[in-house]
Order: sequence, then structure tokens, then C-alpha cells
Amino acid sequence: MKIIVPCNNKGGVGKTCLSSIFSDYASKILKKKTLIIDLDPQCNISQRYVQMEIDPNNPDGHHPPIHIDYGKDDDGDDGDDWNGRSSIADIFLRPEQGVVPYPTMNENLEVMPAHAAELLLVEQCRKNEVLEKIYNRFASFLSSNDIQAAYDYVIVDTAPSKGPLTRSAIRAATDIIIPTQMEDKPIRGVFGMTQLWAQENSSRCDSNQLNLIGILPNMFDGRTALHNSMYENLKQDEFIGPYVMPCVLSRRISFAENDTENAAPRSIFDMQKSNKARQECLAMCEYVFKNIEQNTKQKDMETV
Amino acid sequence: MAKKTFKLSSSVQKALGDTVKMANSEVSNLHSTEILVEKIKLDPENPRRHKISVDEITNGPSNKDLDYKIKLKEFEGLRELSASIQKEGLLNPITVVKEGDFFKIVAGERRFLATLMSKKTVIESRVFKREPNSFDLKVVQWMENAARKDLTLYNKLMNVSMLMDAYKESKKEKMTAIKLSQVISCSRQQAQYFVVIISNRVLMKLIEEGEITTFRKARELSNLTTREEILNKLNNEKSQNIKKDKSNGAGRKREIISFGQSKNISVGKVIVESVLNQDRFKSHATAFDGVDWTCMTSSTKAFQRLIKILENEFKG
Repeated sequence: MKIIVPCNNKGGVGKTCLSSIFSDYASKILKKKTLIIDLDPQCNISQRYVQMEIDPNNPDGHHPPIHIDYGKDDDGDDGDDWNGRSSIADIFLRPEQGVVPYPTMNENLEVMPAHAAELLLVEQCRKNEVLEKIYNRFASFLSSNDIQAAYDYVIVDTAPSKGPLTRSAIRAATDIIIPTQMEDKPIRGVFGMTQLWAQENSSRCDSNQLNLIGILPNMFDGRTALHNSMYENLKQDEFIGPYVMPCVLSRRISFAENDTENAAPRSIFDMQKSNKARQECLAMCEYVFKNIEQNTKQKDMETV
Repeated sequence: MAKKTFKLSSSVQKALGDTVKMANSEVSNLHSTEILVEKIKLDPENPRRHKISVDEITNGPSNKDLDYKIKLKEFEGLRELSASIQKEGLLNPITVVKEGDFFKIVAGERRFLATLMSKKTVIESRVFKREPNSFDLKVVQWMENAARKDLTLYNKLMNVSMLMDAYKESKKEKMTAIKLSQVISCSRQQAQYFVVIISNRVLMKLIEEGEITTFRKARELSNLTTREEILNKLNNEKSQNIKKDKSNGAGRKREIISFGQSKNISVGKVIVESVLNQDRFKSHATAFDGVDWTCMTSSTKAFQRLIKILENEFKG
């Protein structure tokens, strides 16, 4: 099972967009069992797949709807404690309860949605002695046999921060990708993430190193000198160069259109084959999943 | 109009490059993690040995035990450390190496025992990423033990001796004093002494028996090869120490004789009485009639009076 995490502590660089492209690609094109987990208190990706509800009593916003399976078992299997809503925040706050994934329109794709208020609670934790536990909790949840057996790919959408939620996602990840705009400030965000990557690797053993798929230029505008020269600059750097991806996602209205609630078609991959956005996404995903595969092979070779 | 050009900020570029370098370079052969305490076992070959066993950590040592006193001392010491671990957590992770399903301690035996005592279920550890050879392990143990005060001379020397053996085994060549000095970071001269002392079996036997306890003494005796010679020299030195007249040597010149002190009044009484028994001093005996020989102050004054009388008698 591969755990892919798009991450960048800068907001608005395309983490959520990338998460949904990956989950669509893995479930629709590769036809693999895929789970998308929303660790972002903004709940954007949950909203895309599940009709989230707004809690009138809570200013912090969204929570998952009542699960469709809730109340169906008359034998009381649901337990008395469960209120019918299940979010990934449960593993931090009610670890004994477990998380029930929500189905989507796509039979290969399931989602564990966010709970805005509760994730914010976890994100705000600053107690050192608890932090390590939070980081590890998510990793041990994903390494449980149930999850390992049920899915081929897990995609984790992260919050724009370097806080506990992002750290837990990185602790659990097998592969990370850093989307960024080719502009000065977002590139500074890349630095924060590479630091986390280096830190994480120093605490992992050789056979389990965290793979950095690469730095993906997003919202790229090939007509501007700024984007082009920044991209070239990075590519030619002796050390970062090898990690700068050869493919880009351009600034296109299709991506934004696709993100709206009544978008049709629902997925980029359902668009016409001639569609430029679709072609770009396909090329990018092929590169990413090939990179993951190659990296796994390399690790296996080393262990042998 | 000239074409616009842009550059990545050089500081960002450098910082990025540096972290990527850092992530890819193998900083050390160790990675940090937490391990369940029941997965950890002690290294029977560690030069620093505890008398106390893992069972006794939970139940406390039994007073029927021959080593009860030592064990109790160790137990008390561990309890202090365990209290601090409970409060602050373990500040320095222990170093372990994977051995089958378990992890063997390379360094941090005391920290491990204290963690057990504090009833923690996991312990922060640094694990060797690749299996280290026996030489690397010994170097780590040396580093860990070198600065300890409670390690006896024999333990310390055995530590170096094992280090040298491990080197010989892994590199297939004898460890020279120069090499030793580099590995344990000491002067070449000291390393040379280590080699000489360790290769002197008779001397090592005496060190083990506790006849020689300081490195300096061992160094002085290292050129002697038989037990008799070494013991002779040791005993000679002991008797010489008493005979030595320090008044001619360094320090302030001695101008008075000190009679020393005694807690036993009878000593003073006997001296005073035997002096007064001499014909020459009998005339002074009346001055001591009122002395209370059960009182320390009175006896001291009497003795001082006697000294004064004698000094007067011998004047000129």
C-alpha cells in the first residue's frame, strides 16, 4: 500500500487539486482501491466527495454527514457511542472508535472526511510530550491490517502548515510531492517541506526512506518570464535539479471549473481526450506513479 | 524594451540545496526511534557490569543475597535516575543494535534499567541502521565508559583490551599504539602505555586482584615482568613512604615537634606519671595533685603544664 501526500506549508499552491487528481487517477484509470483522507480543517476535499454539513453550533464549520450505513444494522453493531458521523479526527480524539469510510460515486474510491472543529483542536496542540504521539497515531492507524488489506493507494490531503497534522501525514507517508507556483514566496514554502523530508528520513531506517517524488510546478504560465526563469533556475541547480519534475500543470480555468459543485464532468479524466488539462494531468500522473513504482523496486533490490 | 529576467533568491536556492544534500547524505549509521522495553536485552559482554538483575529492578534486591549491599546501592542510584526519567523523560536515548527479534544494548544499560523501574513501556533509542562490526560496537562502548568515574582500572583496561581484540579480528592486523590513540582520542604516549600494560599478563593479574588501582602506578610498574619483582617494588615504595624525611624536602621547614592527639586520657596520664616518677622531676609532683584524670579539659591542661615544666628544665 502506497501513501501519497502532496504537501506544502504555503496555501493555495494546489495540494487539494493534486489530491483529487491523484485519487481520480488511481481509482478510475489504474482501477485500484483508493482511499482519500482529508487532514485539512478546511474540509475542501471532503466536500468534493461527500456532502458535508455545517454545524450550526460551531463557528469552525463543516462536519461529515450521517453515514449511510448508520442504523442499518439492527444487531446494534454500530455501538452505542457512535453518533453516525465518522471523520479522520476520530483517530486522534477517540482512538478506540475507528473510522468508517464514506463511499463515493466511484466504486474504487472511498473517503475519510475531515471534521473542521476537531482537526483544528489537534492542529493547535503544542505540548511536546503529546506531539510525538500525534505524529505516530496516524502512521499506526494506516499500518493496521484492515487498512493495508483494503486499499492499494491512500492519498492524504494536508493543511497548509507545518503543524501536527502535516507532520503526522509525513510520518505515515511512503511518498510525498511538493506542488508550488514558480514564484518567490511559494518556493520558500518548498524549503520548509524539504526540511521536514530530511528530518523524517533521519529517523527512518534505510529500507523505509521517505520518497520525495518531486517539486511540481503548478499554475504554470509558460508565457511569463518569471515562471520560466524560476523553473529553469531550479532545474539547473546541482542538488534540487533532480527533484524538479519535468512536467507541469498550467494555469487553466478547467481546473477551477472542475472544482465547482455542479461541475460536469465530475473528474478531469472524464473530459474529452483532446482536452489540454486532461492531457497534462495524465502525463503528470504517469510520471508520479512511475516514480513511485521505480522507487519501490529500488528499495526491494536494496533489501535483497 | 529589454527582455525581463528573474532569478531565484540565492539564499533560498542555497537553503534548498543544503537540505536536499542533508536528506541524501548519510549523516550517521544510527536512526532514532522508540522501542518497547520488553524488546530490549542487556549485553553480557559490556565491560561495565551491574550486579543487580532485571528481576530485582521490580522487586528490589533480597537481603539474603551475598551482594546485597552493592545491589542496594545500585538500586538506590537507579531509583534517582528513574525519578528523573518519570519527570523529564529520557534525555539521552540509549544506543541499541538489532539482534533477531530483540535489540541489544550497546550503550545505556543504567538508563534502560531506570526506565524499566519507572514503568515506562517504551524507551527512546538510537538504532544502528546497518549491522555494525564488533569493532565499531566496542568503540561506542569505550566512548560511553571512558569518562566514567566508577569504572575500576581493571574494567577500563579490559575495555581497551577488547577494543584491540575486535580491531585485530575485523582488520586482520594488530592494533598499534598510534591507531589506538586515534580511535580513543588519547595521546600516543598514553596509548603506548595502554598497550604495554595490557600485554603484561602478570601486571594485569595484579590489577585484577586490586593490588594496583591507579593508572599511574600501573604505568610505573609496566616494565617489570615477574610477580615477585612487581610486589617487591610495590612494598618497597610503601615502606619508603614512611621513612622519607620530608623536612629536608619541599614545604615549610618544621620547627616544632607535634605530640599528636589522643582520645584516651590514660595515655596522657601514663606519660605524666612516668615523667614525674623520675627523680629529676619529683619536685613538681605536687602541682598535679588536683588534676581530674576523668576530665578531658583538666587532663589536657595538666599535660600542657608538664610540657612547660620540661621545656623550662631543658632550657639552655
